[in-house]
Amino acid sequence: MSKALGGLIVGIFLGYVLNIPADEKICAVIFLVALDAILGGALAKRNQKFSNKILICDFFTNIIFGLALIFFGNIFEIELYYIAIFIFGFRIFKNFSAFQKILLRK
Amino acid sequence: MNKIRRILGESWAITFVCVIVGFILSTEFRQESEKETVSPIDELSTQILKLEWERDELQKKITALQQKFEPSTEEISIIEDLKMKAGLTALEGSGVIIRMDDSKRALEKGENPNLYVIHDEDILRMINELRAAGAEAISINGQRLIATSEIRCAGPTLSVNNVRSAPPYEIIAIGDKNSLENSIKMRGGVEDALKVWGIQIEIQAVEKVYIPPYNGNFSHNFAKVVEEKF
Repeated sequence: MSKALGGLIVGIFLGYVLNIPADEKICAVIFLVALDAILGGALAKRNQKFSNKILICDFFTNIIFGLALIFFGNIFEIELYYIAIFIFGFRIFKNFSAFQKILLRK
Repeated sequence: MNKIRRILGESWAITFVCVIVGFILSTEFRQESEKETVSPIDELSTQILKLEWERDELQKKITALQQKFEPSTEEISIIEDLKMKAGLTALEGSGVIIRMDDSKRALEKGENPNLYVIHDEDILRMINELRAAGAEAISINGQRLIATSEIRCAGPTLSVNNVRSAPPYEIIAIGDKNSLENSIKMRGGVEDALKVWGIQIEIQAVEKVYIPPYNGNFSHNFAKVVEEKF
């Protein structure tokens, strides 16, 4: 938990120092994918099914798929990345409620 | 590998993803705050500064070129004379100051408000009368009238030398002050005609009036100088 928070602070610091100009869509998709990965990972840890490899692999494939949606959305001029935002938002809420239930039952 | 694991913890993947979340958050936040600071006012003021700098540079060039050119005294007097005739010098002399303002009369129901404001035609009549009475130089609200000056309504304002000004208008003319004053005040003249509509006119004959020079551009894109033909 403390390590994760430390990572968050390091990330904020890095982002502030590097100051990379980034697209808003890409930022939104990566942000949601990352949140989903964190919640999913925490849930898996509770269920004793946690694996670093699976989490990292899942994270990067999701990002690649989300970026592909943005890319094709720009080509077709349809906001396809809404799919990614919708699905990951949905999953975040689902994981969150499952996590809540586990904590409440304890 | 074990060292990294010790630093990042057993579930290092979560820490890694947390770093990315923080990164995205601060990048996005930084961009948002930067967007706010670049306002159109800043942009315009930098543009003004740039243009002013350019203007100063050009001014320096002009003075440098003028210093290179060394005319004889005769040439100088000719140039000064031509400048005076073209309206490029400030002038002073006896003349009149005419102040005109829109009518203060309250409108009656159904009346056209256009009747009670000063139009370009009124000013033109005034200028025409002054010129007929021998005015040597005329300015309207600080804009020198030269051969190519226009006097034109531009909405509620008046455009002279492509510079707009609003009432009250101040017309200054140099010439014989008595004949200039009389030309405006004569019975059935311009003043009488305009006073019918309540337009306020105030004429002042003065011993010394100042008329500024013309400070616009001359453009002769179509006219060419040729030999005189008969």
